[in-house]
Amino acid sequence: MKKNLVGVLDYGTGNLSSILNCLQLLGCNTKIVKKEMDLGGISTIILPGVGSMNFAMQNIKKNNLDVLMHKIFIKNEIRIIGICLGMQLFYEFSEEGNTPCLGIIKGKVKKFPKNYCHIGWNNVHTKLLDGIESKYKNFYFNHSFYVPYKKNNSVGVTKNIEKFSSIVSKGSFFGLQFHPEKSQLIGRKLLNELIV
Amino acid sequence: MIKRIVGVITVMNNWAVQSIGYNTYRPLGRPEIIAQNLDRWQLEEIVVSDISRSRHGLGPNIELLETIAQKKISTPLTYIGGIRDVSDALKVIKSGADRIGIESLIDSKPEAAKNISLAIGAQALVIAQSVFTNGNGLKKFNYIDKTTSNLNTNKILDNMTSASELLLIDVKNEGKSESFDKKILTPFHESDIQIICFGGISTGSQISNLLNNKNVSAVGIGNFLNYSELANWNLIKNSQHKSTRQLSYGKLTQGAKEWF
Repeated sequence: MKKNLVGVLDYGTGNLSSILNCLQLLGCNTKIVKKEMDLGGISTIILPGVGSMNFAMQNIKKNNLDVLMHKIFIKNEIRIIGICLGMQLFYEFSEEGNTPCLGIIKGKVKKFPKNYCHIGWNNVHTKLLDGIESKYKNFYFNHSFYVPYKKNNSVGVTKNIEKFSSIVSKGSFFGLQFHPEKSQLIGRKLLNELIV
Repeated sequence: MIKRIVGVITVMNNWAVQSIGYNTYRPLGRPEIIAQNLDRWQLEEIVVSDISRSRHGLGPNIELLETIAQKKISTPLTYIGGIRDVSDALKVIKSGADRIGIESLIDSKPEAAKNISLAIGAQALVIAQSVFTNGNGLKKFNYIDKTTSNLNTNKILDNMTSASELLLIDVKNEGKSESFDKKILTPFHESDIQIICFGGISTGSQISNLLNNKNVSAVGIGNFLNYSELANWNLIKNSQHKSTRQLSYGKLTQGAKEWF
């Protein structure tokens, strides 16, 4: 079990309690991060993912967190884990509210056709979680926007009505389209592997 | 897409109850303890439905959600009961629910329902409807004033553009063994909405049969999860439905518990 100090970025959306509870179950010490000054001693920061993209980006810019994320990306010293909306923030642009995002990873976040919502559990094809049979790598999804699958930066892929990237990485940034904190034991296992 | 077995906890006056046909209620215990059990049993989702809120004009049961959150459950949670507007919906999400469900609000304040969808996203909104068949038609039951009316399917389909799933509750068979009326699904066969069936679902073969419908994404089970430990595991084993989640538990199955 981990004892690291893990930061949870508060950018004003949704609830943080689910992710904080999950981190506590993993034995991590946790700290809410709102600005650069809060980073002391933190080796991993989680960007939780509930809310709408334009509201999230407004808050991120207002608090200069976009500048902070680029600094962290260049320094490559802190692991960033974006969950759901938190992962979509890494991209250049989202069709959700036609919002320019952080631009850490090239590409667009698109809306599923016909108002489709991808709700529930689905399989993630990934080499992560080595040693666990593929049929058990099922995670909880809850989203209506997605990142179309491209080989670059994708380390996990999922298929529903479209094939999409369900785990992405670039430098020290990891993005998870699903909710590991709501994916029971397998979710905690994955977070445990990604937290440094 | 994996189809789901959803554990439903019906709450009345802060107690989990067995509900039979919307008129008989028997106490089961503390809702947060049942939620903790369903989480440990690895249900795919938990629905907490507080039936004492809307009928008494109370808002959502935030205290109950906070009590459940303290149990640190890691199963997706949907809350239904007493949500009146965007402010209530946001409070419910902030208190630990992943999705919210509304029923009476969709008729009494359709604009409020649409605003909720805009605020939290359609993926986080479930529309619940208490229904039963009568001859060839579907009737809708208003559980607050106990009246019935014809169900307007087109109106429901229109409302579903703001929501992710339709929870269809079989009023007549709720609480009765193996009795969910499949005719309830007939008006929705041609649509592409995703449906959660609930009420009178108690056996593996019945679950399998319902999940074979292309637009049934989940089945909800309430009373019948309370009669034995790991009741859902027996249901899945019996149904052997290929579209449900592969679960493992324990030493012999290289199970989840072994991963730590």
